Amino acid sequence: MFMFIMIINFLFLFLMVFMSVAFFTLLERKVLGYIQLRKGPNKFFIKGVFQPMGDGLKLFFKEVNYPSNMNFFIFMISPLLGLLVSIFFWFIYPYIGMNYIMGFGLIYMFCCSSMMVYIFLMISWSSNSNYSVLGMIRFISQMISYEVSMMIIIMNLMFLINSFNLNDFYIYQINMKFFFFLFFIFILLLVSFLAEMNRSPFDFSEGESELVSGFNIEFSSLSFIFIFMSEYMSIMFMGMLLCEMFFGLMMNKFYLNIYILMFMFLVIWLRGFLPRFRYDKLMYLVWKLILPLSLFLFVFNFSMKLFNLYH
Amino acid sequence: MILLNLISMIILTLILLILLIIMILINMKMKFNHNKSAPFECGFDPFNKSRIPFSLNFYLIAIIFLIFDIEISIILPMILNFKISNMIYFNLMFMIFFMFMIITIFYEWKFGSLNWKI
Amino acid sequence: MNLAALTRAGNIVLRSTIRVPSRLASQINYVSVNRDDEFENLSWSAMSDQAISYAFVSELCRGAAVSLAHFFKEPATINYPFEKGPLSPRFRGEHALRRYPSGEERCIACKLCEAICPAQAITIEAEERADGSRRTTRYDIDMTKCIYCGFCQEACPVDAIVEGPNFEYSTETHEELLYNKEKLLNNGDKWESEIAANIHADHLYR
Repeated sequence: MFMFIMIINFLFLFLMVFMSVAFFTLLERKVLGYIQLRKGPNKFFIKGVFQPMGDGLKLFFKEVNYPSNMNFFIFMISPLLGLLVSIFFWFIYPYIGMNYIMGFGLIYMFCCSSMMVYIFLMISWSSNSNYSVLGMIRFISQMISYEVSMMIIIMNLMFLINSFNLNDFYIYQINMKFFFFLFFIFILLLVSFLAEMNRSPFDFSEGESELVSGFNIEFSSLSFIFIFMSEYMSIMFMGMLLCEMFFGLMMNKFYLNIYILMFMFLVIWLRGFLPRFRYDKLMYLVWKLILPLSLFLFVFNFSMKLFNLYH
Repeated sequence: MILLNLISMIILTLILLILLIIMILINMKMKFNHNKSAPFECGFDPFNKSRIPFSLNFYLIAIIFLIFDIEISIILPMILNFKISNMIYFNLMFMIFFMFMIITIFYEWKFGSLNWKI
Repeated sequence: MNLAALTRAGNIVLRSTIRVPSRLASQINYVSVNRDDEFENLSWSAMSDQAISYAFVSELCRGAAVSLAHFFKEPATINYPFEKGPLSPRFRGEHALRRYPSGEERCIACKLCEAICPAQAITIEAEERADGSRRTTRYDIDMTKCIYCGFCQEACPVDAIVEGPNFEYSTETHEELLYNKEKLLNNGDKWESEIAANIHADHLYR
């Protein structure tokens, strides 16, 4: 019985994640619209609330394009894998009510985020297009570069709480939040996440002005929905992670959702006013600024922890 | 618990696979033609193959990433070892290791592997 | 031999395999747009200003503030088929042939509009009418040829042919856009009040 409830619980979580991705796209269109002094979708059904459903349905019935010389199996299966990997991120969502918390959650998250690189490799390589391969090359070298700094920063936090468990962040930060005394690390992690999620100042894989749509250019219909959803899902997951790690929120409380919503708004807002970076500057940013800085901060925080322990 | 994860993963995978198959079935009526299935270009046939050789800077970045990734995987167990190990030895090891990591990146910096000029 | 040197050599080797036409060779010398002398020749005050703006990312913050301010402003969207934006009295839209208040058509078939039309969209044939006045028997405008320059309106000595404020006359076939005299006169009757108001608003500048 317990097993059955847990499985239903997970499936319900996945369903809710899908729904929130749908409305996240609506939020993005609305916020970007209002930033540009227009309204965004405001017609369909009740003031455009159900616009994403209509979009999804329309996209589902579009025809699929099979580019010549593509690898059929990889081409069909890789968007599905992308969606699955980014939904498997959500297993580390701590169910305190169900007494289900993954003990090595952050390691699991590292594994998933490393997997995403291969998925994107498969997606763009199989579609046999110049633009998608160019987007892939950029995206993979950007993603693996930022993965190093992201992992080191998260390990920095894990050293402070001596655990891989996401719920221990809550227990550790009941009285004082990391956000206030690790603000600098927060900024570094935000930048790494933005690059990792391929969001706006760092959206090199789908730079519209150069690569038309980058790695997903040959995809249409459901395959495109899968890729799109996997990206937005990972944004929400990163938001959840960031809020949990720096604000120490209890997972089954409602205000977590408000924090995630604020993070989502922040990401969209950044898209609203930041122009795209230059590629070499992106590489300099991670290898010459964020990585050395995060290493130094790691040593500093570690020594501070030791100082606290033996003071 | 791992079993539960596995079962729910499999259920989800099946649902999505069914959707994918429905998509392929709906798409059966599509008519193929040469121009439609050509890879995306600005209206002309592609000049060269898409699986192209690329700038070696990207390759170099991947190699540096490999070094750092291995170092990260060495640090990961230290987080739990911290609770149970001798602090003096642990600190010595940790600091030396981090010195190496920091020296690695400045070494790469000095010899120009991080420069993006071709 | 370190890896970076190897990379650079490898790039040169790869480069040389691609043959570049000599015509393009001059274009391949990229120009660096970085400001390398950013911190040179600066006075102390300018330097401290720059340092402060770097440290507090002031430009970034200003951009964020501007976009957030836009977020709370009234959007400029109008609900188009029901609301319409303002039009100038000089707006050049769909053509119309006007009449005098007595119901007599204004056009005297002087063919000035046909002569001046740069796209040659207007065709006029004229004959003497039963009462002895000179009127058109045929007045066709090919709306698909028309470039909406407004010269016909400027040329007309009696304000007969005008370009009215209507811009919603899209059709499904090409033939519906070949206007004849009847259609143009109907347009004139339909939009007379607006056209008259526009001409009155603009009469000082003609």
